[in-house]
Amino acid sequence: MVGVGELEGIGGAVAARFAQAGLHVYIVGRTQAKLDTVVAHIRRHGGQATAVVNSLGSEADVNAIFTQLQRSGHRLDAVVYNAAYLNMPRRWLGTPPSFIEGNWRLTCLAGILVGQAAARMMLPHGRGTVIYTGATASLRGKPLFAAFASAKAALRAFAGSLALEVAPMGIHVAHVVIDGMVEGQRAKGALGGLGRIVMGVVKRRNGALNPTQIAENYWQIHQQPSGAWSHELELRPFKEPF
Amino acid sequence: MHHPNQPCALLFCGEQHLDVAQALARLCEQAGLAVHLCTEGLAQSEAVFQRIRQSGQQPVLVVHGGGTLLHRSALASTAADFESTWRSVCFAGAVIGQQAMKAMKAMLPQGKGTLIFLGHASATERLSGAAAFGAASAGLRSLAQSMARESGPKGLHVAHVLMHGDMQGQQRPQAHDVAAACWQLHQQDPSTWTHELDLRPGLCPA
Repeated sequence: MVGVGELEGIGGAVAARFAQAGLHVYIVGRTQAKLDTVVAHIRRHGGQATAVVNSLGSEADVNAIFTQLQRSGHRLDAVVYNAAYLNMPRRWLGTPPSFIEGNWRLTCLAGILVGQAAARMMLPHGRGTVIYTGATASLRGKPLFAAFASAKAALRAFAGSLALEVAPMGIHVAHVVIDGMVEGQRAKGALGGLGRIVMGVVKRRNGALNPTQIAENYWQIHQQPSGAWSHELELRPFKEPF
Repeated sequence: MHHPNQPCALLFCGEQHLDVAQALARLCEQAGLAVHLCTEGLAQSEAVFQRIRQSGQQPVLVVHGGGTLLHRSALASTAADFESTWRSVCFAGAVIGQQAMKAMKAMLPQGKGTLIFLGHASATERLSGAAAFGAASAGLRSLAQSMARESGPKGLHVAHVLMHGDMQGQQRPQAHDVAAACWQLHQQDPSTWTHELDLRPGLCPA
């Protein structure tokens, strides 16, 4: 489970769901304290989890995660890539190249490297699931989010390429488009307190995606029998225009 | 459109699209535009825009077509493959796009400005052996969309040309025909703009 921040976010919810099903979950994120909260929650509910602090800043960082997994002796059943660069609105002409690049490195390249490493580790077993968290921005480039949308689109394209390549080897790669606002800390904290107000308005108008329900869908993808796999799944609240 | 400065076209194209750029350069010259054909991408672009500004020319058409199609599988592609492909196909398009927008901003909306990105079908289709190129192409396409949505209302026509071919033995569309299509995009009236144009050789099944 790569990219876990708040317990209330998608990462925390997915980790909890997979742990509930009996898998030992490795939770990868930047902040020890937040990871510890998720691990503690999982253990309180009878599950097993390990915190892995990693900034995904380089190929070596990504490799370190998989080296740790290898040493653990567990069979790798599923990997979820949920990490992304800070998503904040910026006018295109006010978007520095360093922001474009930073976005691509974490939102896209790190996800590519994680997917490759996961697939390689799963190949000898001929089974396993790799799930990428996508967004509305993965599907089209809108104003003010050009750098993020570009990185998400690139990641989605890679997920598709990987899916095509490893399906015959028994590995299920899927991309889940989270099309709407998600209930949770990050959106609330965004834009100063404005995020909280936006969240309030959105919830009244369209509703927001519930992270526990998102997690349930990720689990269902992992459970899909090989006779009928989804490689892309869109999730949106019932009132969300699309 | 009356321009106080001489209108010009800037074509930033690498090896992959050089034939299209050369054909388009001829069309631009026939229409009275000064043409600058640049093959070094980001290494050259800022200096080129500066030189043009100082010489009193006004860019009205900028085309970017970067990168080389790398045939390598999703698992065999290295981090360096993904990065170098992203830099030449997508990042270069992003930065040159910003430079072009800044160069054309002042003359809009009275003057007509067009920014064209030459892209590849791997942006939207999953083609085996195109992992790095497909990811970079998808990233570029998304950027073109954001730029189009953000700047279109201000009068800048941003378009993405999606070319099929060069993979699995498929033919590319003819270079001079692609150039003609790009010229047609530049000619489109603002009441009828195309933001994505799909091109493939006519005799090949869709």
